[in-house]
Amino acid sequence: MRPAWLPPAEEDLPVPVPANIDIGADCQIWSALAFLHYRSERPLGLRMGRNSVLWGVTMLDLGPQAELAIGDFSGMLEVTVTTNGSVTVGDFAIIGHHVVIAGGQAPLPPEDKVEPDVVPEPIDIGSGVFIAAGSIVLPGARIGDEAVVGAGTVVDGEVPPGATAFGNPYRVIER
Amino acid sequence: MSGELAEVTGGWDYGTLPPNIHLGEGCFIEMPDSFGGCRSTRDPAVTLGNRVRVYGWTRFNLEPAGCVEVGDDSVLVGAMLMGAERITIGARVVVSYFVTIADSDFHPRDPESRRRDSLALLPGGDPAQRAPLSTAPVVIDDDARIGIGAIVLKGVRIGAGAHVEAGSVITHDVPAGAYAAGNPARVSTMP
Repeated sequence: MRPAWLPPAEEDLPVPVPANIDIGADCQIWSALAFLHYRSERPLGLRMGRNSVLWGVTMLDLGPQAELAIGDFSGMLEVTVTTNGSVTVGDFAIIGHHVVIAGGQAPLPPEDKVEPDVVPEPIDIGSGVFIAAGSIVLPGARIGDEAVVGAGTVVDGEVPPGATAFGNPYRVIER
Repeated sequence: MSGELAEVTGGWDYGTLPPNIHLGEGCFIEMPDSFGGCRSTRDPAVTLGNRVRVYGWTRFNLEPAGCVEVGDDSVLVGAMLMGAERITIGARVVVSYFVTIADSDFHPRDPESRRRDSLALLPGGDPAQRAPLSTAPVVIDDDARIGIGAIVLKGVRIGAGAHVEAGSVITHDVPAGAYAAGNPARVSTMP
């Protein structure tokens, strides 16, 4: 019998883990359910550096052209990523509970696409960024290094490095 | 397909749902958990039109008197539907991730009534002693689109083809074809 302290065997995972991902040393993904709607056809749909985590109920609803790249030592807790574009997260980023990083206002799961996937503007989240609970990050968001995004903020544009963004529509306090 | 996988991919037996949940033809329900919070004693409690698609994390959390109706070809990606009276969703509506739609505040506004409400609900209390809920139906008309994380509160009507943008909090009607965005939401004609 497999010892309880070992992660589950590949064949016991609830959802198959895709082949086109690159996960660095000491990363953790809490559940293979994260890949339930994953359908990226890029050479690497998901890249994670080292010691980064996707904890809690994560959803990676990545379209055929989608790429999610996460740096080193970044933590994403109960985050939903639903896009057909590119999302980059730097090192030492903390992205809080129930944050949604999305390619549109109301993106659809794979079986419901009525039109061919369009590629939305990329989303760039810098290093040392802190995005608090319930925020929504939309295409065109560029969140500079060490910026803070307050809880429940909707970001669809620039947040300068070190600044604090909050509200819906969002406002920025520069460092 | 293993039993465990069927429970998250819509491959489970829809015949196991309670009889007051009525499905049209060609509906897809990703996870049976969506109906775990349905305490409605009405029949029908939930009516889904033809080809309605219900993805995981959608929740039909209904009080005993609550009911929900969804029109043909609508997609519920991840809605929390909190119903104590009636929530009506039209045809071809998209309701996105983490949307909340509620037709009641579920607790009284007056502090003293609210204390008594808490006592009735908490351990040792008698839920039958709760004050009657104040409710007002919610209507979302055909072809509307409710963006990620939006909150739609009681008594609201969202007109046909209206767009509710991500993260909006809707406390007043949105006219047909309009855009509503922000907290509190402001309505405009241009995106």
